[in-house]
Amino acid sequence: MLGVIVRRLLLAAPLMVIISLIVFVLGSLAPGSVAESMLGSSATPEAVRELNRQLGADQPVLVQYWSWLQRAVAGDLSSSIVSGRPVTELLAARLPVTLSLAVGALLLVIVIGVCSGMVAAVRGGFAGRVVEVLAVLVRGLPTFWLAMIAGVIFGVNLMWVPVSGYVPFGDSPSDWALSLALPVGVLAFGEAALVAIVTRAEMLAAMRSDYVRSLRANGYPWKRIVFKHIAKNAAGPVLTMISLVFVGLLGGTILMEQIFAMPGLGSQMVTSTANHDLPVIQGLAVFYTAMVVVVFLLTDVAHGLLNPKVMAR
Amino acid sequence: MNKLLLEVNDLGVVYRGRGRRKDKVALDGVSVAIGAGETLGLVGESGSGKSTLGGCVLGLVRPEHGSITFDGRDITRLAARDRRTLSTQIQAVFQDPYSSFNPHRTIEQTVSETLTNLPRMSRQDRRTRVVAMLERVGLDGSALERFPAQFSGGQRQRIAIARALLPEPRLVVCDESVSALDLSVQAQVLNLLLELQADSGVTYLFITHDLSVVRHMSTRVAVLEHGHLVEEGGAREVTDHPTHPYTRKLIAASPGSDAEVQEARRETRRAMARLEAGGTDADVHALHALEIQAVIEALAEPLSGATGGFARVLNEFTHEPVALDKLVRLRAAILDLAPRTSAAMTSEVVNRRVADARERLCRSLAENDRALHFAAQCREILVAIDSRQRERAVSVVASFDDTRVAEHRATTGRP
Amino acid sequence: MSAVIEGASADAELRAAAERDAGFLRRLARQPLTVGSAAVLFLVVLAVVFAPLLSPSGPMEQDLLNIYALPSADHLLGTDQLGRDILSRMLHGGRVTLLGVVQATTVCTLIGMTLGLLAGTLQGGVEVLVMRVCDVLLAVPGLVLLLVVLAIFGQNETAAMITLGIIMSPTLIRVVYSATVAVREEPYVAGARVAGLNSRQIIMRHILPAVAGPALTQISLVAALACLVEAAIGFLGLGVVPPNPSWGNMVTDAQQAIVLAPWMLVPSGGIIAVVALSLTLIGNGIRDAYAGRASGSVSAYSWRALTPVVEREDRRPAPAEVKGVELETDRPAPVLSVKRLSLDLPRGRSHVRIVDGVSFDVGPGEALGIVGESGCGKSMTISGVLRVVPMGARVVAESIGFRGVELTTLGESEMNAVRGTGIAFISQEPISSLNPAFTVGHQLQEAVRLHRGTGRAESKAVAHDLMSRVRLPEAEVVGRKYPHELSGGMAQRIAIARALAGEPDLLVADEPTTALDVSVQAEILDLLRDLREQSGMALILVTHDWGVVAEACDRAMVMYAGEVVETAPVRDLVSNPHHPYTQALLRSSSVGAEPRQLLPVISGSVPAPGSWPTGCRFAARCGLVQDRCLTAPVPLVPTTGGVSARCVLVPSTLEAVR
Ligand SMILES: Nc1ncnc2c1ncn2[C@@H]1O[C@H](COP(=O)(O)OP(=O)(O)O)[C@@H](O)[C@H]1O
Ligand code: SF4
Ligand SMILES: [Mg+2]
Repeated sequence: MLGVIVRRLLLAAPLMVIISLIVFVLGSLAPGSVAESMLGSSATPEAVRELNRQLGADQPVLVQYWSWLQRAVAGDLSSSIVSGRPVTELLAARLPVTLSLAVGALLLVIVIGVCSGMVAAVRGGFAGRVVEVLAVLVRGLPTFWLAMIAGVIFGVNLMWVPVSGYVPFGDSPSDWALSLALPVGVLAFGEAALVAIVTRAEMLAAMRSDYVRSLRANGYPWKRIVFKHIAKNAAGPVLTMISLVFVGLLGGTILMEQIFAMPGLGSQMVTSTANHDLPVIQGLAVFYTAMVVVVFLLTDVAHGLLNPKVMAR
Repeated sequence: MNKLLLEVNDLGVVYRGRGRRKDKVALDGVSVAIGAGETLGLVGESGSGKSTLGGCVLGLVRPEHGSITFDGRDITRLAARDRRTLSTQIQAVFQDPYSSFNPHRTIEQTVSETLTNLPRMSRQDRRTRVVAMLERVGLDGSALERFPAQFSGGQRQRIAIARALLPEPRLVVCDESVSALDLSVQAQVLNLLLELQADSGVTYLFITHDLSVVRHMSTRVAVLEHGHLVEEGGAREVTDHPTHPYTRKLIAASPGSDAEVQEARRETRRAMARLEAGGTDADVHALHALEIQAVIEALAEPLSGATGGFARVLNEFTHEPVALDKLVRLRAAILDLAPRTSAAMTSEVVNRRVADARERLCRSLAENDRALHFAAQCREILVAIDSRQRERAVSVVASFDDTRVAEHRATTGRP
Repeated sequence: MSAVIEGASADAELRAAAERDAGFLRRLARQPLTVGSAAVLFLVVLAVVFAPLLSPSGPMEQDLLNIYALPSADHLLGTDQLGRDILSRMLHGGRVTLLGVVQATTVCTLIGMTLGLLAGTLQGGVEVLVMRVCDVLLAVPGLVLLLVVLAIFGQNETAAMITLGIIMSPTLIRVVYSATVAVREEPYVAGARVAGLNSRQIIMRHILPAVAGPALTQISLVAALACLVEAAIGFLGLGVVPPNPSWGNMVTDAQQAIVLAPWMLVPSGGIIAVVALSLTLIGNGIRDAYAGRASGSVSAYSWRALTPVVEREDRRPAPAEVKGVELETDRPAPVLSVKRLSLDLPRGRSHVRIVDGVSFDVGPGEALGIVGESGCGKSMTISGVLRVVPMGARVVAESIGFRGVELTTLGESEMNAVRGTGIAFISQEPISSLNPAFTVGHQLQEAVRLHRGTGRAESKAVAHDLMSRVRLPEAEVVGRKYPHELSGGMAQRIAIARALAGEPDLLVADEPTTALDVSVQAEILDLLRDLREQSGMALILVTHDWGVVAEACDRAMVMYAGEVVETAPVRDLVSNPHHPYTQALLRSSSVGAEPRQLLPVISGSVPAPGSWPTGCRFAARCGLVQDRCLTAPVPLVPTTGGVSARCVLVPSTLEAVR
């Protein structure tokens, strides 16, 4: 098992490097330089050149990247050109919001998705149809729109939850939970259907397999067949789906933070995009990727534990 | 053998393992040859390399070493273009009648694929030719616009044959072409293949794991085991008088539909198992089982000449005193009444112990003055075999040694 | 996700379905939902393209006296905060969104198809490289990278859409790649190569058509996603700059006015939903049409559907055959006694009869062979007895008695108690009949624990004992392996050991040796015989191989087109068959035939379920057919010596009795 983890970690590192390199190279393609945007349009060319030299921006891209990487590994993601604050500081301040959203939604997705997928596979009929229809709807309905409708219904009309804002956990756990309810709910609603549909399909496929037929014909109780034998085989693809869903969820948090006015990484991202604040954007992008990599790593490990063939590879 | 059409020389194939999987030697120094118009049957268990050999001939598998000569020309490593040209001369019929057709293409499209590398012909000519070929295999023109799903397994295999024979190839590789078919359909397809060969003189490389089918179809037979050629020869010789233990094992294991033969074979297998486990008197039991089996096999499937050898040895037995070694030879000849006794499928050690038992029993026969009586019994067996009297023959074998009858009754529960 | 029915392998079913009538477009056109979605989408695109002609007013035209208006004849969809006509803005805004969708989808399609096909066909280094790049791209949170690009290229819509296309391509690459690889392994591609086609022809004729279905499905979904993402960018205010309209920033407008004019949410988000939904539905439709099934038919399948409807048929006024069977009273009471068992499977909306009134008995310790060509209902007969059937099946029987218990009256859980401890089962594919995710030792111990209620240590001991009974050496070592690490013969031994765990009185084996080599087959058959002799267990062995029947069974029952045509002791059946079908079948075997001479064959093939004739079902292929064979069903009648046959030519002993 340890071997699998180590191997995946070794694979994860180059992945991070590649992603950050892509972001960095893209950044270097940007018209105008960081110095220009820092000094404003009235700056003299000499001043710009001088600042560029100080920032190292006159070096070749790869050299710049190398020094950025060195600093990044040491925990320094440089500073915002707008506010001048270190990117790491921004990250640290806003991370709890985004993490609460993403992790909360992921947990909800797993619980709702897997459970409803199982119910649909075992009971079929109405439950199956509901899952199918939902899966179509979530692929077709814009989440930000749904979020607003949900806001109107639950926030404005029913007033069950606050319409916007974020309360830190430290301030009040119950308000924290309430402030998360809407965005997490909307996010999870969408992605859970995808997990459910995969769960159901995998379980149905297993139900038609030869080994389930043999188990049934040899008198195994249905609960044992479904929750032990089928579940273990269906878990692999479901895990893969969950890790992909997490990527989608991260995108969703950006929208939710924007809609519900939550001070997370996403709203920072949007602001920085509008401001062309490249260092912040680079830092954020790399950080988002790191979160994905961690989740992929976890699902891979779970995969390895479940599936002997993966272990053997 | 007719003029050689295909010669495979010292062929070796290695499948390279990926990742942690090891390399696998699929063929190792295999040489076979087929004369024009003949059928070479290729038998062996799964994984023995039959299909790999077929694949090499078809250019689907790249050999590691060795050569393949077709009609005097080396085709081992042809360029893709030459290979395509050759496709008009070498064709194939594969096993699975379901997956060997693209479900989305009509029968006409599928069948006429093999005409791709012939000189361009008009659509009308092409269609006429396809229809003629479909009719030859027992279908008709209405099949043209239909899709594979609309045909049964047997019909699809006919279509596959039509497709292979359409460009009038000289060699057709039939890879397990009838293995997925039911008995009644299998017979239809085998007949079709034989008829087509009689008509056009096409040569078959006939790959199968089924010994009775290969015996029925082939002029020559080659037996593969784990990528090695273990036996090759005329079809009758190999299937009726196999020399290699592996071939004999294959033959002995393939169940016929004669229940009595099955029982005799089973009895032998048991006796052999007991012998290997080292039971008391196990060697005598084993010998008895083999003798009974030989007689029953000889009765079930009489082979011309098989009893001849036995009769010859017997003829030397005219007067006393009988030398012990003659008696032993006579008794050993009983096992040669049928080639399929399991004697051959067991290890040397076991065979030696059976031979020891035989000698011991013969000595006891001689000492008890029963040698001539034994010869008379043998004659009776010959008569019984000739006149197809199974019961009589078996009861005689069963009474060779005094203790026999009772024992046999005890072990099988039958009189 | 596919509507494969149990029993048939996924591929086979998919293929069969795809072939049913190969008109993919025709099938697509028969789906109302897909056609409707396509029509809606077409209208929207048309309206957007001709926006300047169609829109009632300019997209920026303000009417400050008439802000936040609800729909009216002047403004079909009302007006926004500046009194601009929402319909006009929607039509104009759609041009940006749809253009973006087209751009992103095109880029994605180009990359996905090219790289997917390349990776799938070229193998080797290219394959590895492309798939690694996919892995990397899949780990990129799409919206984040989009924002990066937007930041860098100054909110350039086209750059963003091209990036989006790239980000979405890995899924398409994977879909195309796996479809290509699946086809690449198909024997028909090898066949095409042998037929002399070159690579280009193979790709055009065989690979592209097979890839088209899954790829089109994915492309529709990609387009839907592109629509949603483009709107999201607009919504974040990062795309088209207001006051120019886009579908996204119209939602932003609506958000500002959410309390004042909630109506604005409806058209602005609605249009995005309509387009994205249509695209999704079209994708689903393509998928279903490609797989050849009616839309949404999957929902009929579930674990619950695996439990068949069991009907108990009332005892009829004793038909001849039943009376005949009852005449034989000298045999000991049977372990299993089946009377008039039938089984129906769902086909379309109705059911089709697969097994038709099969009756048989199995005595204690007896081995009964069920023989016949494939598709005659052998497997379904035993499935019906065990009630382990494909989804949606229906079992009808007059009686199924097992050890004196009437199985037809049992509920599912009571029936489950009989399975395993009373009747055990082994199947045809030894390796796939074991769960791939557990070691075989674990599975064996589980069976022991389950059926004998033993503790952990004892179960292990019993499992080892079972393994030695099925002659598996080194129980410890073998027990630690997974099914895929075993040979077919070893896996079948494990399956047999598992079946023995419940010490059943009857073992049902469905073609247990068909997938094995002959020498392994002989070992397994010997094993079954020895086990039977040791424990007095009865055996039902389904097979199409006469050799196996002769080797392993005492009595045999020949099935043809869903019914029993002859039953007799094996010895007699082989040496002296009564029914013309049995006779002809035995004659057509190549065993012992004169080599290279034509075999006597039965012409034609077995009629399919659902198209059985009224009279004798073998009539169309029978050489002895007479008029009276065709008019009425022929009964199964007993003749001498424990033989029964279903043929007008076989004299019945019943006549004599009467
Ligand atoms: N899962 C299934 N779904 C639909 N039809 C089936 C299924 N399994 C078998 N059939 C059909 O039932 C008939 C009998 O099948 P089966 O009992 O498997 O025959 P056998 O075992 O004699 O080969 C065949 O026509 C077959 O096509
Ligand atoms: S009933 Fe008639 S058609 Fe049927 S098998 Fe007998 S003779 Fe042939
Ligand atoms: Mg079957």
